[in-house]
Amino acid sequence: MRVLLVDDSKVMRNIQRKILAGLGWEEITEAADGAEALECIASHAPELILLDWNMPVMDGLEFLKKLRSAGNKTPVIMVTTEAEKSRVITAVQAGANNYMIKPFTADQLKERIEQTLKRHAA
Amino acid sequence: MRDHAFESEFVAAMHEALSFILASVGVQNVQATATRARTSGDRWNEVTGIITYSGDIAGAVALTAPLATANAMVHALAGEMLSHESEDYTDAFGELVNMICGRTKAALRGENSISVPTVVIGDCTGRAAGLEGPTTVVLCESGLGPFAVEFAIRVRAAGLASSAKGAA
Ligand SMILES: [Mg+2]
Repeated sequence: MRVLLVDDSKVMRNIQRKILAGLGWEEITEAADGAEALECIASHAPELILLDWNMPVMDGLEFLKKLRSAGNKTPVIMVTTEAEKSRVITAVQAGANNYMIKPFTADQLKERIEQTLKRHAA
Repeated sequence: MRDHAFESEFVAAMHEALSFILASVGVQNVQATATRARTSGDRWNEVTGIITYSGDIAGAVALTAPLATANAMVHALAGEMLSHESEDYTDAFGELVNMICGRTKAALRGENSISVPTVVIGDCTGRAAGLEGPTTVVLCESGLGPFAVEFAIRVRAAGLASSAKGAA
């Protein structure tokens, strides 16, 4: 499984990378902002994207809108501190498939990933 | 003018967020021991993480900790000891502040946004922390040692101020 991790915090990317490794997924590419992430899309062709919201240069919401307007349907899980219901609705309307509020446990993230991939495959 | 009802609402939300986020990385017993106005004699700690708020409220929050407390907080999140001179250290401390401020924001009414965090190691000033105007200091104790949260936030949306005053 090819996964793209997008978060401006390297420590947060490391935490997510370890959880993904526990699921046996090691084809992981990292990006520190939305603009870097867009550059990774063509070369990496991810099957899943874990996306932070608050990032410099280009935030997660703008990246998501650009991704969807280009016709890309890769499942995206927002992984963010943005916890208001209005933010979740905004992200889903922009094309997010699922939502995970930081902080999370390894089990919570695994469950969210499995749920997302199952729904996407259906 | 200071909105004291909003300030106490903000302190309560911040305290809940501090306890929740620090507990998620294994830090227990987070207690606010005193809340007061900042005075010119107050010194900053060695590690300070800053986030600004904009929207219905505007201003900044700084979480400032002595090096020993900050080291332990970074260790708790990153799972390893990091040098305070490394980029990963400021990254980890900033992410903790980001999670705390994000959770605080979600508990407040109104539409607000937070900035990405800035972390200052060493001397900090209110100006560097973006704290302008009357600043409130919340002194805290935790299982990892003492730290403080300082904030200067003003309410911009008139409806938010009056509803804060009327809040149960
Ligand atoms: Mg971020």
